[in-house]
Amino acid sequence: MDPYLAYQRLVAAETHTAQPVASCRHVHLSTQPLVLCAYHLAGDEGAPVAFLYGRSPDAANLVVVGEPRNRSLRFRMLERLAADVERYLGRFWSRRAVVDDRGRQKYDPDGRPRLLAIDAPQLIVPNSGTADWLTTLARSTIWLRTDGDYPVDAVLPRFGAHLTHLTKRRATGGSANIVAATELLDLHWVTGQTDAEDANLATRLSWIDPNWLEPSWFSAATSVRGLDAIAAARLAEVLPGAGPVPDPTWDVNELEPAVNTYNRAVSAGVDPAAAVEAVTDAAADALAPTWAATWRAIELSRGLPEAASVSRRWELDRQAWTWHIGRVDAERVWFRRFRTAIQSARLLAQSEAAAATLAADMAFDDPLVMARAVADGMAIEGIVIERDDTHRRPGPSARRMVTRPLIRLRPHEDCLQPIGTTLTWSTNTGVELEITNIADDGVVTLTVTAGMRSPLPEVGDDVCLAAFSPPRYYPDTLPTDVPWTHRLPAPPDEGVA
Amino acid sequence: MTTTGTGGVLAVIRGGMPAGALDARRIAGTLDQPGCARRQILDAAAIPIERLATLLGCPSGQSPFAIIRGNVFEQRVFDNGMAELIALVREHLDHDLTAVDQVDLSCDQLTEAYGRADNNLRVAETRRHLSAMLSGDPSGRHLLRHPMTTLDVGGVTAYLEADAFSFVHGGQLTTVEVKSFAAIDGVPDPPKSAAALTQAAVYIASLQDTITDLGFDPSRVSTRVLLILPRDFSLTPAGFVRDIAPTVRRLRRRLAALPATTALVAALPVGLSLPALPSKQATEDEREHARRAAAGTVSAMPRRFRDGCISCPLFRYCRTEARAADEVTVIGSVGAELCGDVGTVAEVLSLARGARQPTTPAETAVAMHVGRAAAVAARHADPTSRPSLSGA
Amino acid sequence: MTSRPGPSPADAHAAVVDEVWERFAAADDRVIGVYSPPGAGKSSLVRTVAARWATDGRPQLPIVTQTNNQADDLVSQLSGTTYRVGRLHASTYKPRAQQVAAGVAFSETVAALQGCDIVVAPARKWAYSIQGAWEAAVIDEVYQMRSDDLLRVADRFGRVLAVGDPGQLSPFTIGDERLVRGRPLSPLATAADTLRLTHPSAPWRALPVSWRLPPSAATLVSDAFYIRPFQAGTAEGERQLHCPPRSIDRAANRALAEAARTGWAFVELTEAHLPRTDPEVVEVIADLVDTIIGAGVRATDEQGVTPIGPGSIAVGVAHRDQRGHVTTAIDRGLAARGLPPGSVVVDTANRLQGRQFELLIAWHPLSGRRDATAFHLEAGRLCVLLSRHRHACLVVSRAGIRDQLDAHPGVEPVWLGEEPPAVDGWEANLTLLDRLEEHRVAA
Repeated sequence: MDPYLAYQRLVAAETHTAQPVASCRHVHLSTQPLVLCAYHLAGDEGAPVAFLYGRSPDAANLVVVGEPRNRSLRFRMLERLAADVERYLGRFWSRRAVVDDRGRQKYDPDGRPRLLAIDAPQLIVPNSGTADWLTTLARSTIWLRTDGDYPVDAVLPRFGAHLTHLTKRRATGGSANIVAATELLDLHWVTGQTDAEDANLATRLSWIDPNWLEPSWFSAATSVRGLDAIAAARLAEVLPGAGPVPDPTWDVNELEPAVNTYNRAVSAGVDPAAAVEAVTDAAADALAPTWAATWRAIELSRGLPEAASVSRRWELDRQAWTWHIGRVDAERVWFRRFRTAIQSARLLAQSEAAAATLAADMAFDDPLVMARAVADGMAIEGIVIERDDTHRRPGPSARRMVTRPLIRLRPHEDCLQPIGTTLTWSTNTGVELEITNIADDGVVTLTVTAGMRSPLPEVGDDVCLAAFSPPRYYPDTLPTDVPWTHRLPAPPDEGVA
Repeated sequence: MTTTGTGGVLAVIRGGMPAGALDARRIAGTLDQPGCARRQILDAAAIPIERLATLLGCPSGQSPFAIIRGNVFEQRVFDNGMAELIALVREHLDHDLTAVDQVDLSCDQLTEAYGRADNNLRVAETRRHLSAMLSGDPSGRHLLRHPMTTLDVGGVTAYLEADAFSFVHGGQLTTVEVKSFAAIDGVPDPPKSAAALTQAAVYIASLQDTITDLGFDPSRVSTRVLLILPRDFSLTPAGFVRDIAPTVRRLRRRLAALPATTALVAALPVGLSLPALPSKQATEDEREHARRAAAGTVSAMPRRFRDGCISCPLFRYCRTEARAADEVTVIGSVGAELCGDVGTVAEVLSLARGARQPTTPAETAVAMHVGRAAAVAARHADPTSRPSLSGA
Repeated sequence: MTSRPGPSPADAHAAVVDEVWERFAAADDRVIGVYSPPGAGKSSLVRTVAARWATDGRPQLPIVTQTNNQADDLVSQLSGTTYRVGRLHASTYKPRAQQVAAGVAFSETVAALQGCDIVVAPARKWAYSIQGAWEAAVIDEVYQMRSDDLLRVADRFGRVLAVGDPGQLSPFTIGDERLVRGRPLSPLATAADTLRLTHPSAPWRALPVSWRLPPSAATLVSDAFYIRPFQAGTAEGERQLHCPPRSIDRAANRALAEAARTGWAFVELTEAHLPRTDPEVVEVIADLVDTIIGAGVRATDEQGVTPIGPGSIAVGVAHRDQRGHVTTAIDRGLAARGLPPGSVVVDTANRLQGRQFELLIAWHPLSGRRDATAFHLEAGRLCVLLSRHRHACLVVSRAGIRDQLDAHPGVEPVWLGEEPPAVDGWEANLTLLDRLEEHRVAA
């Protein structure tokens, strides 16, 4: 953990209040997200129990299964979820032509006119565990067959395909198609509890907004108003878990009896729709606080102004979505079950590029994020005390002298970067400076090595210079066929160590 | 204090609580909380820690659904004359096993056979069968299910309920572990895999100790483990082999490094004792009385609160204590690492803000390192002092 | 000098080089691998192979390195010979003046280097050269190379000679590793492991000798970090450090004396837990550097006697911020002696890979921590720090490492589809500590 975040955590622990660590919002938030809370059976990722989902806080849909281990019942429940999700995704099918600055249509390499979806879907789930589980849910539905022993409605494999696309986007990083509420809060506030406790959405939210609790979730004697973070978090701690795995005590006290009730009733000839009521009530009660917490996290995050590079990253999501729905329309949606070496390499490269870009974007967009780098020594902030535009030094070929403006800076904290490091000016990332000297009194001397023709820092400015810059990327050079060095002598066998 | 003396004191500490057997998961858990005297003493006294945690207000336990699934999967592996197990062993371990003659040493089976199933009997039966298996006795069985072995933990003998199995082949004892978390597309969950292998290491270590005690060479316990998991979303078993010799070595070192439980117990106030667990019919007052007594005893045992504690049933209890003591570990181990020896949040902050001058090297380093962050934060807290262009 | 049984180190080394060359020249194997412990003369192997290849009049031989620095170092060693050396480079790269003067050809395109017998470039640059197909190539640092970097260049080469050091830092990613781990042919595997997986019958040979490490270090490093043992190329006593006797009994003097006598020193500060920018450790390191510079130490080796100056010493750390603090403290001492700042190399293990110095001072990655983490326990990091030196290595740390190791739970995630690491970082740390403690000097 960098020292800045650790310090803010200590302050939070001291003041019993969450501390803001960002001044703007670094994730795109859709005007029409789909919030989804879910439970699956403990120890069995392939056995969902309940889904609570909807596009607004007062419009929650709940689907449950009376016996989660019964495949037919499971698929019927998933079909209802899939149909609703497909309806939601259908709202994002409109595409607009992409034009250049003169308004002329742009074309893809294959000759087709380039389009861009006007908007793309956003699923918001309570925590990373649920977000990760969506990958498993996609995997468990995409290969289902509409014939055979357990035939399903075609909506299910279609749902699996959509979800596979969206979960793949999430895996590459910087994407906002699937967002976890805990991550949303993590980007912008720190609490005074451990990381492990922060995984719990309810307690984390309590640090940021101690008043979010509803009296109806607790016994009559419990007061939920006027609490500080610690007291609110202690109450939140005993709420049913946010999933995807329910609390074991809830399983013992609520789910198991309800499932047993269902099974007994159905074997006694009761109509399944009535027999499932016990499970429905238990799931509704358990997921209600998580539902409220997720929407509250969204509301709190919407209160922050959007960071400058968010729309650029969201456009990448929209481009990927455009590609996906184009394939859906042409009935050419296809995902491999096992990635080839080339696909894995491509995915990893995309993931690395996204991670580097996001880290740099956040720091350059937001002074509070940059502050973490300053505290860590990866950036310096200080006052410009001298600037000499006539300064000359040997050029690259060492035969001629070239003009390179010189700047002296009095940093607020000691500069921890060695002489020779290249720094980037946060206000204009095209300007780069090299450290040529660090005096005993801390004054740093720099020469401008790039961006000399743009406006430069003026004497008296309080500037920030970072030892990193927005990454520049060149197109990847992966081969189309797997080369001989990566061909196994025999097909890979799963399960062999 | 002699071992019997310790045993006596541990029995007093256990007080009204029932004694349980430990399992590999619990022992692995203690070693995940290194240096926590509280856990070590409670484990040495074989306290049912989940029920104690529930009494103290930290409900814990395992989901009945997970337990049922585990049993169903295990049954599947052992059905039809262990067809699936044999197939996997042949495929992954190159043992040309054809038939397996098993003995089940679980509580139920022994009670049926002998009318009782206390720890001593289960250990004795396990030892008897192990001897037969290793001396090539033709009447010896091939596979031991639910054996009970022992392990010295901090100078106290722990009785270990194994959920792993051992079968003998070619003079070697091989360990098989059946778990029910899935291997989806051939990739089992890495943290769960690590936990399963650590538990297997605990079992292997105790098995090695047991057979050494019986006069056999411990190298007759193979360190190759066959882990059997459900494949994808079905209950079809898939196998994974791993040699965990380094894990066993590490485990033994950690066991050797544990302080003697005797010493830990000797440092406690005299007469500490846990109450009996309240019955289902207990009144609110009785429950509260039991809770207070339990809290008093547990709080008298020194704790070491760290990130790893999240997997311990007593997590919330110890966390609340740590918070009341203003320990820096409440913000997490990674953050606490930055604070070095400086123990409380208030102390770190006063050093970082320059309110107090450092007197030790640790305080000096903390003042510098966290102080830099504090200065940056202070500058950014005031919007007018943020980076700006003069004249703007 | 004691005599050694068997062939001399030089002969043993030459035998392996000859065998590797013969196999490479015979062109029967698609993959030939060479394990090279630190300072094993890997570059002399590459140099020998390149020279023989060029002299034979064979078609152009590409050499793939992993970094620009490695390419530059190799070019320096290959230039000034009868064959033509070319350096392929990116647009942002500036050719070194001495290399230009020595007749090395520089270009951004392969076509312009057609007349060269040998062409050297980092893997990333080869990946961007779309044109060209070569019958054979040499891959340097194949254990540092990631499998996906190999994937991007392999189709240009018909067969490869791959050379690398298995003890060094493994590849890592800032992306999400869960996407690709646990499956065969993961892009995060080393290129070496990929080649072993896809060509299981390919011959691999081990260079038997480290020319860099003195005997005192070779045994320790070999035991702790390598499963294929190697020995030092020099005999006991061939390398010596001469320190004029120091009158004041200070820890730094005692440490220097111990290092001169045995090749190791373990400077141990009192146990304490504190942030990794431990100012006292910084001071001890700076003091050690200053002491060494001021002591007039002379080093004797196979070539003769040389004085130890700032350029002969380096400091290895685990974290970048440690580097900043150490550099500042050392520069203060240098300034007091009238020496320019930055004369002593201070860097992280990552960036010290492939480099060598007469003396190395290492800041132990576990120093001052309450709890060890996988990063700090990584065998490769420690191995790099402890295998840079030709004469002596001084390790600086706070006491308490053994407790950390004993208490470490070791629950790093396990990817069952992957081979476990050849060397367990935790055990390597313990072996190292056992040996280092024999050379303890209290700070």
